Amino acid sequence: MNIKITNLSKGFGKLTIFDDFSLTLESGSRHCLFGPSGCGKTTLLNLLAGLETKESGTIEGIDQRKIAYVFQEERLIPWLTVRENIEFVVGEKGKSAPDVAHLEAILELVELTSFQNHYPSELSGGMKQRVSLARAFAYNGEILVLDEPFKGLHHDLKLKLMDYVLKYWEMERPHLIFTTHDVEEAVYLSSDIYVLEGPPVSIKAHTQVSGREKSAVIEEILTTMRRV
Amino acid sequence: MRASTITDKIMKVLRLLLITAFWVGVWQVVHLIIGRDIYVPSAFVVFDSLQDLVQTREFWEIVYASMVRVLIGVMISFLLGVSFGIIAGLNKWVYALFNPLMVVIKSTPVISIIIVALVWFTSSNVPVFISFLMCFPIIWTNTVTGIQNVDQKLLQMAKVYQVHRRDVFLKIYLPSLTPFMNAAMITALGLAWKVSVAAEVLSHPRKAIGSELYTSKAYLDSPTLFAWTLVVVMLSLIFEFVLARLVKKWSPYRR
Repeated sequence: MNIKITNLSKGFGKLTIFDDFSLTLESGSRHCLFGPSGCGKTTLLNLLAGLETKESGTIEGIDQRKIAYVFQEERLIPWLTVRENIEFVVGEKGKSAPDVAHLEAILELVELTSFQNHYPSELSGGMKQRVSLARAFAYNGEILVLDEPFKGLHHDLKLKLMDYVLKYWEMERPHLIFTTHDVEEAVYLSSDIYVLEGPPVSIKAHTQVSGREKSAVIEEILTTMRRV
Repeated sequence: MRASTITDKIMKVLRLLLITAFWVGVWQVVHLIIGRDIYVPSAFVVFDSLQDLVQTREFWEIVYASMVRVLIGVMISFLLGVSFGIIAGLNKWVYALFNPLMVVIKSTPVISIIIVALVWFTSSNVPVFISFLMCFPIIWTNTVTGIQNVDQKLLQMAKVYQVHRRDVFLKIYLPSLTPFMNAAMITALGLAWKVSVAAEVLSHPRKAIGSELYTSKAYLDSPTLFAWTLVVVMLSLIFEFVLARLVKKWSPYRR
């Protein structure tokens, strides 16, 4: 089901973030909201997830109970192990035991099986972000939201994490929406890139990645950004 | 056990003995300067008096009775302080309603409350009530602070993932609260001993350290007065030590 945002308005104090903003995100695609820091990308994700309230407008085609969200920071519970952190979000809202086989498969996918009994303080930054991804994958939401999940990670690790996301997407085909200000990430992971500017947020360009030469897409986005 | 660990332990004990010897020495010097047993008795006379006390069955009955009063008072204040603290921490209206009461309790002289309690309760229950009332605001305030300091980002994460409220409480709120409650309990226990014994002095319950202190004072028996005071100090330290060990063992922050 497509996600349809219509005439969205939102502000913080005197700052207007969204003013009559509209966007349709088609299902089955991997959408990237691309733009500089502070342009309103995270606010848009938070509005989709119900973490912020809109002032006016409508958001259709989204069930907020079925969103898996990977935040910019790992947001792991320090006193729970890797496995317990993942189990925290799965299992019918705390009523039934989580699907062990699914959990094991996810741990294996992100190569954390041997670290499942470690505490977050015993992990590196990259490993913590892998746990954060694993938690989102284990939740198995219809929509997978990633808010600059690879920020601050070195290139090789970034590629590895993006591969985990792509593998998971191939397996489950969730509605993937992610934000970044790194053009390589955008091109590597998405099928549709929306170049945003703001605030107030507006769409400067919409670029489709699928079937195109990656360098050409990068060049196109960079040209657009220079105009922004 | 490694040799270095044994040496460390021996050094620790030796250091403790040296510090104790130093302060007993200071006590003895003060005693010699003042020169009157009724004001500051000799440390050795006090230890003799303490030795005589601990050999009686009544001493242990008195210690037990006073200890039970302190524990009951602290337990009630813990249960109510944590419960009301959680509610007040989650609801600003409840906080606004209870906060003035806590400010009043904290700033009212304990002696005034003891005198009022003497009218309301039987002599044995006055120390329990006083322990409860003095510890309650400490535990309440720490619980409220703990709730207000829970990592909002973790709560937001739990909200997005539709985590059941019970799990949010048990796995985020409660462990976040633990360090605040531990600090509150250690402070409250120390205070409870002081105010409970003060209340016993004024209410004279049967079998109470406070009553013994009052009797010693009435007979100008300074060595026994000092001996009982030492007992209170030691009991307070033992309680604090045991609680600190339990906290260390069970704290979710040990990682």
